[in-house]
Amino acid sequence: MLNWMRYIPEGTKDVLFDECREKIRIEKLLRDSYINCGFLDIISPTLEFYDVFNGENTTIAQEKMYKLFDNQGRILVLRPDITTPIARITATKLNEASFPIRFCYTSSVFRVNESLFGKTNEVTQSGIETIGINSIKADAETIIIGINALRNCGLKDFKIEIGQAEFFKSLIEELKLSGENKEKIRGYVEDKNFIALDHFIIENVKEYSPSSLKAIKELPKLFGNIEIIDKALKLTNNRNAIKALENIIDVYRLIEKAGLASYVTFDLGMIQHMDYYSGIIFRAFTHGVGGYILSGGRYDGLIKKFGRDLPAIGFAIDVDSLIIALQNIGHVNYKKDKHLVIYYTEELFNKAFQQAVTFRENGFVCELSLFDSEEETLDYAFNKNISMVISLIEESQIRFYKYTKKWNHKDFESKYLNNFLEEAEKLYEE
Amino acid sequence: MKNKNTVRIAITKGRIEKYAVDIFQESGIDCQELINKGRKLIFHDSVNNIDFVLVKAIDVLTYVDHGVVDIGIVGKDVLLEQNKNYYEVLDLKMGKCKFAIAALPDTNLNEGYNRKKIATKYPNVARNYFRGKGQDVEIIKIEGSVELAPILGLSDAILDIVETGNTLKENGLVILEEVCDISARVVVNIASMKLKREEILNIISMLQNSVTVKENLIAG
Repeated sequence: MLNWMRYIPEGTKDVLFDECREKIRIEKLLRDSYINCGFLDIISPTLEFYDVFNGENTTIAQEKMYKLFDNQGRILVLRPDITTPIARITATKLNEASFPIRFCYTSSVFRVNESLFGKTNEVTQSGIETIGINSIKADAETIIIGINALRNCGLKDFKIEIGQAEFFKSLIEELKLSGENKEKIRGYVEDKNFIALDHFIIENVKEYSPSSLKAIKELPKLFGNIEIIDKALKLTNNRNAIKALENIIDVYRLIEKAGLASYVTFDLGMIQHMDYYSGIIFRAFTHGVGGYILSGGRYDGLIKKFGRDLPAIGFAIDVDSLIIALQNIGHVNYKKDKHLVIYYTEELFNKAFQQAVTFRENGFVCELSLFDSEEETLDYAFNKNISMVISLIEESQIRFYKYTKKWNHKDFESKYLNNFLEEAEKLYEE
Repeated sequence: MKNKNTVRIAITKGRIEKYAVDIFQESGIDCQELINKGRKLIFHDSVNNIDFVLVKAIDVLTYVDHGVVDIGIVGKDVLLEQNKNYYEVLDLKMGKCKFAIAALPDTNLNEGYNRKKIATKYPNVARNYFRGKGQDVEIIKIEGSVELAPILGLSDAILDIVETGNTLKENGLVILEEVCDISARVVVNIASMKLKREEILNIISMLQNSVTVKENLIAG
């Protein structure tokens, strides 16, 4: 039998050193953007019961979840999403809490993708949920925090596009179609296939109110700047559809006042999961990443499934895609630290240890050598591209090595320790 | 890094490529580099600022899905077989053919209780079709010359693309059922559609115009 000991499963990834450090930095920047706005950290289990994610308004297909069994034969999954566990927590653990509550999280989600198409199956999501209130303020806040979180990471050239789940839902209601034909129209609208949509409507839609039909026919083209909302308002007199559009305008006005209007576009043909989202929906795009780096919306029906009727809105950022986007614009921070190694003889460990602490306090990355000779230490530093080595061999003396084409050194008396730090800095700057 | 305003189009190599070049030329997009291609892999139209790449059919959607090309020209057969994210914006109404079930004469797939075997290059299309009919079949993936499978006794029938029907006839097979029509489609990456809205809508409307002109020519 083939032994898999030396391999990792498809769709997974080892993240090493610079890349790993950058990922943690970005995760922290994102988290800070939420924490500063009053969001509270939450970590849900990696393993959940399958039942949590199984139901009418589920957004993840059964075959996309990693499944396993617990010791009593019950089906478990590696969490494929974090919003649903937060809905579960809200409905079952927060009876005494006062709402609204703001949550934030950074965790891996697991989804089985088709292999060999370049998608990873473990993705880090960073996001927020605001639960217990349905208001324009909450809608606008969520989108604004999304924009600012991306900006805080250094992303500038991106668009967040806003749609409204209720707009399409209320229009299609009026057409009185079979479930299958509704699904077809949804497909054409989502595909922006206005030509096929036209043909289909001419052939299949017999019963309708002219105003909703006109709007649906235009739907695939209704994306762009705020003008398309005005255009849509003129296309229909369906009351719920108009309410949905007014919701978008109200939210947009607040975003505009926050000075972030330039990031916003609109797409009324964005439907996503029709049974899941119940109000404003949005997602963010940038150059060099094919899919979206952020997606979210209002989902007032989800928590009810767990036994408590509470409105909610949130978003998740795909951290791995965001890092790809940042790499594309050269904004990844692989900057080198001020880095040095201290070599010491065992008798002088105490001194080396204290010296290292001083350097670290002054912003250096300081390694203590693990070797028993100065020569090995210098080789080690050379191989790691570290250009400074301090050698402590005698009680009264410090030897400072600096690499410029070869190792040069200079001796100092121990008592000049403080001046010496400045010297080290200066040498580093050179 | 590629220029932000350049639109990249992936065209399926082969049959669709010829139709696509025609339709692009008629739309006023310069395909000279594509026609005299030599060994190059990327071709440029500097007037409209478009890059073309020629790739195999099944790779078109992979490139579009990842956003490294903005637009793909690909057969509906490929769209039906692969489950990917994209906007399917236009039917070019060319490269027309259809998916059909074919078998040796006198085959009846609805007869008896034994599970029928279907050989095909398109396992997902076959699965969806028979599932839709409520029929349980065994699907066998074959990479080429699918017609051989029933002749050699590997399968009861095949699901394949039929253009003229000549290949089937020459091998003594007949069409049992037609599954659906196929033609070349224009697909667009979802992010590109938003980030390069004007450029892409412009190309789509140019293409749509020449499709309409062609249709009217045939009708008129």
